[in-house]
Amino acid sequence: MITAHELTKTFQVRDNHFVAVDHVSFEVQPGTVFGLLGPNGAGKTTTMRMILGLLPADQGYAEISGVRSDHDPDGVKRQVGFVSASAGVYQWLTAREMLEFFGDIYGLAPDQSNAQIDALARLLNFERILSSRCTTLSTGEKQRVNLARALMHDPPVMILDEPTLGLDVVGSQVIFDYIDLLKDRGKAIILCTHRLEQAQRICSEFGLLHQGKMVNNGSLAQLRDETGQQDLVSMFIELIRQSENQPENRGAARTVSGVAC
Amino acid sequence: MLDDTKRNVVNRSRSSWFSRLKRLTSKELRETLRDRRTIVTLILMPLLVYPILSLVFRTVLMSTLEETLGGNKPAVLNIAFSSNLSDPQTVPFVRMLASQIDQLDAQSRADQIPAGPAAPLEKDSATLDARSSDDATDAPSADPLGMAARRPRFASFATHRWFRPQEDQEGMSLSEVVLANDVDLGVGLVFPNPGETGKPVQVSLVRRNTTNGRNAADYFQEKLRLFNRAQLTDRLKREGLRTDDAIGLKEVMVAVDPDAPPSTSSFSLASLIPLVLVLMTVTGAVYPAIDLTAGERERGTLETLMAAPVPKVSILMAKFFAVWTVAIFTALLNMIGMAATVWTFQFEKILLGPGGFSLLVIVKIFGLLVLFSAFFSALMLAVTSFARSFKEAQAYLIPIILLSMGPGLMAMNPAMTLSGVYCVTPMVNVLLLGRDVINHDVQWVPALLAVSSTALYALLAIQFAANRFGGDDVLYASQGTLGELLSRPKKTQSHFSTAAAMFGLALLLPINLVAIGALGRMAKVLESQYATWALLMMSFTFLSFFCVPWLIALVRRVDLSSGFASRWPSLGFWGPAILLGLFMWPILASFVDQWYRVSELFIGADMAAARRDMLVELTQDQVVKFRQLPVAVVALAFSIVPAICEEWFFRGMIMQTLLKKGAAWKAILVSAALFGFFHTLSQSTLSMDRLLPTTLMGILLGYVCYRSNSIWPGAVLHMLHNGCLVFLGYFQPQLSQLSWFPAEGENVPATWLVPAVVVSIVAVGIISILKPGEKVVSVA
Repeated sequence: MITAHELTKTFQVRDNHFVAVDHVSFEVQPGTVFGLLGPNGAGKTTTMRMILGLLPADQGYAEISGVRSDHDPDGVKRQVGFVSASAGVYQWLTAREMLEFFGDIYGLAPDQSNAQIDALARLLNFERILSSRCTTLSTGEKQRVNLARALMHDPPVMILDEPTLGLDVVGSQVIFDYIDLLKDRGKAIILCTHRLEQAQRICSEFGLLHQGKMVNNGSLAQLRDETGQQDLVSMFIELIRQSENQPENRGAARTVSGVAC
Repeated sequence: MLDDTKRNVVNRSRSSWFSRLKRLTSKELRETLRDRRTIVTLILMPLLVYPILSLVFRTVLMSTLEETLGGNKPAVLNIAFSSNLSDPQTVPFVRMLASQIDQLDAQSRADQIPAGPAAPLEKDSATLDARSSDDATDAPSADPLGMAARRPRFASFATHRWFRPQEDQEGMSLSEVVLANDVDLGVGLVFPNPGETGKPVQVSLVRRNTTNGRNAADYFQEKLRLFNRAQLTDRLKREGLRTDDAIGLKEVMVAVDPDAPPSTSSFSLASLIPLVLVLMTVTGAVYPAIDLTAGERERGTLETLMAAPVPKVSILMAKFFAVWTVAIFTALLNMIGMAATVWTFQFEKILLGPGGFSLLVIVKIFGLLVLFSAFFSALMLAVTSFARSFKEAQAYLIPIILLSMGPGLMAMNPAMTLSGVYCVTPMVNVLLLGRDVINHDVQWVPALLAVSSTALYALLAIQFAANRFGGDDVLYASQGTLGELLSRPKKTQSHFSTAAAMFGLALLLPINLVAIGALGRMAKVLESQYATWALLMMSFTFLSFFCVPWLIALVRRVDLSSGFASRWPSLGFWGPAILLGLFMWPILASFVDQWYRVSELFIGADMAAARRDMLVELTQDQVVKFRQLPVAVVALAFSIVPAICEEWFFRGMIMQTLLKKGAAWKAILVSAALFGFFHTLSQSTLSMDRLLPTTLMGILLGYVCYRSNSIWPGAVLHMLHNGCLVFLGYFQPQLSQLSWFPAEGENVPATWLVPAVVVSIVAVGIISILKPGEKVVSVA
């Protein structure tokens, strides 16, 4: 369903070139959640943007249901629901108006759109704020509206970049429960998150990115075998420790983390 | 059947494109109009600004304006006349003509007052000038301003004063007389020969190219028409002159004397109205333009929008229509606010003369504002599409708004008319057209040019904005700091960054202007020391075009070989470059000739000839001076140093930076346009005549540099081209003695032009098929 093949992206920051994503490859099948995990600046967001066609890859390509994002970015975008940590809302529109707008963009008829809005509002528990202007919503409410926005066209693929950033425990739980539900409905999902316990609970497969490279890729059992660690938190700590002990990586790691990647 | 299906699909897709655009636009509008900041600029500004301005205007300026425009100092129409007969025969006719015009004038005013007694007429005299004081005549004149009368525009002439040219001006053409005596209108009278009965007196009008001159010509023509219509033949016959039933009219425009200060009496407050409306319209569009582009990015909704399957151009078009709609609303509300204020405070006669506002004028001005707001909305979106934050967008727009004040103020100069290059100069054309609309003086060809060029600029700006909007460099890049721009990288850079190149360009423009000014001042001081002046000019060229870029390269650690394309080229490029250097000058010289011919169509033969004469005079002045210098100094100062330094900057720093960023043709065109623009800079004005030929030369030099990957063949071409032109001037006295050399003022002969074209085509052909020079290697 989702294929990333040798994706590579280099940025020029100030006067230097940085390889933000370095020949990253993985696949995500329908009905699975792929946890794309890594410390800040590992290249997770850049990878997702390349998959979606928002950023051109310097090398490699991404494919969704056989459609390459560099050949037909709109074809890819039609199949994807995208939520990012920085996604905002239209503050002068009501939640319903904003969702109607995106329903319209994705080609939904007005009655279809309204039915979808009501269903998603019930499911994500924001019915009471549908008529409120977005500027008055709390962070959790905004994030739920954003998740609903990404699901308006019922896409087969979801790309979720830190969807619980800034949310409290309850708010995060609602989102994770819903991601679990989406998985059960057969969607292929890529999830970036720093909430490793939750990721361990709902992700079927994992890709550990560090300094732009895919360090480990596979199921939790495979990762345990490869790293000798039992849980994702320990794997991460070990990964970062090993990396920081390599003198040649110290400067690069710090500089790369300053890049929007 | 298949065709029908295809047609349906096409129709559906068109309809879906338009309906989507409509929905996108309505969303953008809804969001914008709900924002109270939009409401402030849209509604409150027009409601508050005009009444406040009017109060200030009334309190502070009214008395001065009334004095100038209203009553105590009525404008005087100064008319110079010339005749084919002697004074004793002409003066009675002129006297009679002046008298009849005044009577007709008074009559027409009285006729136009709908009810009540005629407005009191203040008698004044239409006198012949003191220079022919014996011929002075008293004749009834028009009323001071005729504020009560509803004449459209002729009321500003209370008196007409007739001048007889001075004795020493005999033999001068009427145009020269008009310029020499600073009068508004020249009237040439050609009386028929005694035997030619039945022929009319031919009257040719020559007017100054000023608002006053134009108004004067209109006024006089109108009166002569009335004169003819009134069948005054009998009266003329009593004077012993045969004119029968008509006086022929022929109007000729005269170029305004460029050194003459504009006449204060011809200043029109009507110019202020379009300027104020345009500025207010722009103000209304600023906030939505920023909010819908940079604001989206800042709020985090831009990425979401870019992740949706909608073409960028649709999103941008929706934003454009939203901004345009707000701008139109702002224009409309401003017009209503202004009209209401003008009506309330009774300013219409002060601002617009006795004609005041008419509904048609308001509709026309509104139409212009709709067009202008489309252009400015597109321009603002194009600019704000670069911005990554609200603050950055504001920083970009403020200079643009301030810069747009320049054309606005220029257009208030009454000497400027909607003609020539002004027809296609953004903003100036709309303002001048607005002034003409208010003055009921619209010339259709320039007006159409102004409208169509503004629409074209709007389309280009939208296209540009659509390319830029939502680009990943805007979407994801962080904002650079000044420190980063000036910091010294650790590694050698293969090229200048765009910011560094722009910084160099921004430095060179003011440096050039200051240096040109300084050289101009020194030219007067060093009039007898031309060699020193030439060396100063050469040093300035070297310091600005060579040293400044070199210093920036030093600070930014840019490799000189790749950053300036100063690497050595393949041997093959030298030959064609030398040929082009030696053979291009007849082509460009001929092009300049043709350019003046084309410009005659826009600005008239007189104006084009005047400009050309001015340029020739300036060039000849320079040539006479540098003939005093040794050949080596001339070669160094006017050929070698400028060629190397300009290639170093334009084809080196600027073009190489652009080549790294985008398509070659764009890099060549942009660097050539900058090359052309810098050559228009002069001490007093922009020498626009130089723009096109120099830009074309820049394109050729850019192509040679692009193909050879080196600035040196172009530098040799540039050097030889300059050298040919300079030495043709330098050795002109000797060359002109040769029978085959064209005399001064003659065009380049075809026998020179044809070989030059053939050789140049062959040389460009060779350059295009030669193996390109070594490609740029990235150092970093």
